[in-house]
Amino acid sequence: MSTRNSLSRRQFLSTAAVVGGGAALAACAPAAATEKAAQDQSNTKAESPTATPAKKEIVHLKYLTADRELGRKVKEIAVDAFNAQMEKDGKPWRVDSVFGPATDNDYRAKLTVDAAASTIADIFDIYQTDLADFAAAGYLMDLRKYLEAWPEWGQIYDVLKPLGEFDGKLVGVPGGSTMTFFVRKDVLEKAGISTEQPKTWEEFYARCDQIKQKTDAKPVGIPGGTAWGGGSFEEGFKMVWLSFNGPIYDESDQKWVVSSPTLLKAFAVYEKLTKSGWLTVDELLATNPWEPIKYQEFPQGKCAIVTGGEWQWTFDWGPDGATPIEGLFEKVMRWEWPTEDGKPFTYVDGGVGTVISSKTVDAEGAFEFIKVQTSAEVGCKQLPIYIGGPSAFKDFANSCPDYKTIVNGKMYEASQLFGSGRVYSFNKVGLEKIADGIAKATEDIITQKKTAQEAMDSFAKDMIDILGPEKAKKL
Amino acid sequence: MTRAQNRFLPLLLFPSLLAIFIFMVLPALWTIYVSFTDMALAGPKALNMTFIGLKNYVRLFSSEDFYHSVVLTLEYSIFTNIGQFVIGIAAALLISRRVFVGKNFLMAVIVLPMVIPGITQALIWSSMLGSQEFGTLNRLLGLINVAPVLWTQAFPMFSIVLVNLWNNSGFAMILFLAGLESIPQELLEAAQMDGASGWQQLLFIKLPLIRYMVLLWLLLNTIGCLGMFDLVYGLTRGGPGNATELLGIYVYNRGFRFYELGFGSAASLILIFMSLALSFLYLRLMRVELD
Amino acid sequence: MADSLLASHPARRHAGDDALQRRLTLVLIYLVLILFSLFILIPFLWPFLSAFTTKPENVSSLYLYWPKSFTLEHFNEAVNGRGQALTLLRNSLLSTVSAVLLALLFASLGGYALSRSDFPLKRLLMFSLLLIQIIPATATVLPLYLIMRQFHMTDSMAGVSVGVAVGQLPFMLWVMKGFVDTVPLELEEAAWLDGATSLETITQVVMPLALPGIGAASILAFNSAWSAFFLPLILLSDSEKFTMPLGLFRSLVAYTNMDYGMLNAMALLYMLPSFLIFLFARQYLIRGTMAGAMAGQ
Repeated sequence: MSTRNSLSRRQFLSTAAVVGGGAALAACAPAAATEKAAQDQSNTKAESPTATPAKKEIVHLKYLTADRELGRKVKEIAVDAFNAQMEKDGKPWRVDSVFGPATDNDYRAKLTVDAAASTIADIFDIYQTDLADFAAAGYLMDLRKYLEAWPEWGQIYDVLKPLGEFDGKLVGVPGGSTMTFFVRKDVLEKAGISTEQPKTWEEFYARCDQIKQKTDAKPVGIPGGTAWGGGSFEEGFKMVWLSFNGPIYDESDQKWVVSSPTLLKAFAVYEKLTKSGWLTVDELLATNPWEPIKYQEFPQGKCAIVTGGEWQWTFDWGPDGATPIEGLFEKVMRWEWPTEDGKPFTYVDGGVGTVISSKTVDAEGAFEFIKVQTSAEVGCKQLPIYIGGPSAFKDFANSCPDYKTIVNGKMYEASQLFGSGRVYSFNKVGLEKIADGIAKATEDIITQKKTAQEAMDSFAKDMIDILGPEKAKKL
Repeated sequence: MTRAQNRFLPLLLFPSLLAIFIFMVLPALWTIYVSFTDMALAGPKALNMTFIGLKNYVRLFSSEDFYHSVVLTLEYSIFTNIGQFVIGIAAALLISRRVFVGKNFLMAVIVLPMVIPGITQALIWSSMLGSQEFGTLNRLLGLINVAPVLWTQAFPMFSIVLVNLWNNSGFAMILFLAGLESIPQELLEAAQMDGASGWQQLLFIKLPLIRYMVLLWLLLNTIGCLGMFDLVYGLTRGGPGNATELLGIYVYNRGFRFYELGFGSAASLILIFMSLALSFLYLRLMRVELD
Repeated sequence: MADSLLASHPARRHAGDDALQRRLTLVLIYLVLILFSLFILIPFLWPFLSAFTTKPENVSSLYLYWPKSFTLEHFNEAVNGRGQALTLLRNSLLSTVSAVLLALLFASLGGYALSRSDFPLKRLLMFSLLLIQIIPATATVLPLYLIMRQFHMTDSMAGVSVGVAVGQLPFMLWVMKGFVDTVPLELEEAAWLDGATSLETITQVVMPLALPGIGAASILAFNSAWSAFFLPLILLSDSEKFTMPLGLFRSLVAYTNMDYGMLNAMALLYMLPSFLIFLFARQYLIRGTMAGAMAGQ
């Protein structure tokens, strides 16, 4: 089972969302916020039968996360901070950590059975692709009234806010990272190839061609195929799809658009890259394709362009990462996604890492935990051991000065991109199936078993079969 | 006295049967019920599940993916049956009634993988079949100048069959050996006196006489293949594409990846019926054998 | 294969031919022997190598490498460090042993009844027991979980033990029946004539004679319970209660790189009981499997 157990990128993002999402509760808005919280508490206490009137009685809340070494350390900081603060404030809530299976699929299986049997923990971490289905199933608490009454909510980048919304429910504090190409600047420069941002796909292709001609590096390792799992969609295809501005999900009739001229163009990018010999096809077909691509060839300068988000600065190529790159910040630069109209974009990705069960014994206490977990104080403490993405809070750097300089300022830089980045809410029921279908379709293209057109046709047929005609349509 | 005791004897079965009923039969009955609904583990259908009659089954029988899985599963069963038979019978014949240096070693070695937990088997083989020039198998083949092969990608069926043979051939051998050892020595000696060659003895005496064991092994192994999940899932997750999405994995994916428990349950019932049909076929053959 | 050649009845052949053919057969046997052994043993190279040695830089530990030096550090990490192997092993042992005992108790009684009594539909019952194992666990896991919840056995070792034990029962009943079949009925009848009760007969006459069989059955059950994965995965929430297969993977994720050295150290610790069974109780394993097969006859 080991082959699929290295961290999925999705897990990274969701953890990054939690960790990077430090807020300034304690430091910035102390008096007013605490007072208001106290008020809220006494108000809801009167209404809610679950909040115990007897002051001394402690309410224990369970917090379920995946049992991973680093994750544990990070969560412990939040849980300890919460319990200490509750004790200090004389509040009745305590959080107990529960650790679920370490591996993605097993954690999901456990979470799903727990949720379906109504035995799920009060608070739990969740994968982004599961959020929509869990929200639609009524497993998640709608936190809108809590969040919108929370002064810190205003500090969250507006671009991120839709990422926490499902079916009109606001299920948690969103976090995000920016997804772009990562380019071996030094390799291109050495061969005299322009490192300027390619504005259109044509320009991008021209650059690939030059890389192929003038260097011994493979031009591009963009995720595709089934071996990469959900990452083929999450870290590759969806940005390509988005770059053609086509309809992806039709809000008016709530259907995925599984066949369209723009989707065909997206598939055609993979076809073009494959047929021209620019894509790392063999590597994509290997088990754990990110290992040869991101941990071997890119660090060695044998693959010039890969995709990804901020976590790569630390987890992949940072000093403690999978394969450290010396002189990382001089050698590696980022390119935005090219488009048809010559206006490249940075994609802002993200979601909610920690959610509250709709069956929780005490929603208010659970939300109190979310507040502490995303506080700047906790975020700051977690910063040195784990930083996978930019903070979701605009004022994080004010209360945590280290944030500006950590990872050579790359995380702080990314926060600034939130303002100009592009976001698309893929949070729809069926996302997991779409991602799965895209993985299969791109595999057929990169192995040249099917043309872009054929791949889209069978993708559309599969999706209408699996999602049902009420959730998918052709244009 | 004996009779009086015998009348109450079957009561000793009660605890076992009760436990099996509660923890195995009840869930199975529930699965049958769910297969007629659109129950989901998550998503909108998790909230209001409805009875949809045979819709899941209609969808299954018109789904190419499902047929694909059925065919794959049958292929997998056939290939592993053939492979295990060849390895098992060869090893059993070598070992049976013969003394040679290394006999115990061979016996031991072939049984070894049987004791290895499934999850570690997948781990071990992911290194064996690993990609490019680094995988152990590719390195071995490199010694005789064969270019590296992406085994799980290029030959997915071969890969999962190979691992099955590694894992289960010992089981086949044990059963065949049990059969061979119970053949009366005189019979073989008589055959030899009559000038029967080794092959003739195998075809006309040994195999017919261990028919029961072969059929039983065939039954158990086929059932095992039809329900195969962890080993293949651990190794390929059903991929590449759905090239190794055996029925057991198909059921898991529908239920846990796509949350469609009702649909997945319908698929698992088809799986159960297939197993039952095959089992009855084998059992019929076995009964003919016994009576 | 040419079995007769070794069984050697030289009367009908020339001595020279015979010796040559015998030698050829031997060569063939050893060729097959070596091929078999390589096929089975080569996959074990990697886990041992990576668990006991340090790897050179820039090499993935997922594959074979030329080791730099011998080390026990991976095991140290697994046992005293982040692997927490001792807790996991303890949990695995506890749940497996109690599951085996439970299954043995039920299966001994049931197996005796199946062997010694005749009742309508017995044959059907025997084969139903065999067939009930077809039902894929993934399809029935939710109802099983709900039933366990009714008995307050979710997130408890008891639940895991019961669940695993019941999973073993059908085949164990077969195995135990097979062994009781081998105990001559006359011995029991003699005991009855001496005035022994049924229970006494079972405990004092049949079981001692079937003891090797019980040993074999427990080895089989242990081996299969030891690798139980899906059920504990779904039932357990508290990682303090996790068994070895559940805990195996948690420590291998530092950032993104996997430490296969430590993972394999964990895996070898996990396989230790399997190796012990293999070394010291292999015969029981083989005998148990055979008995299970014979029981249907």
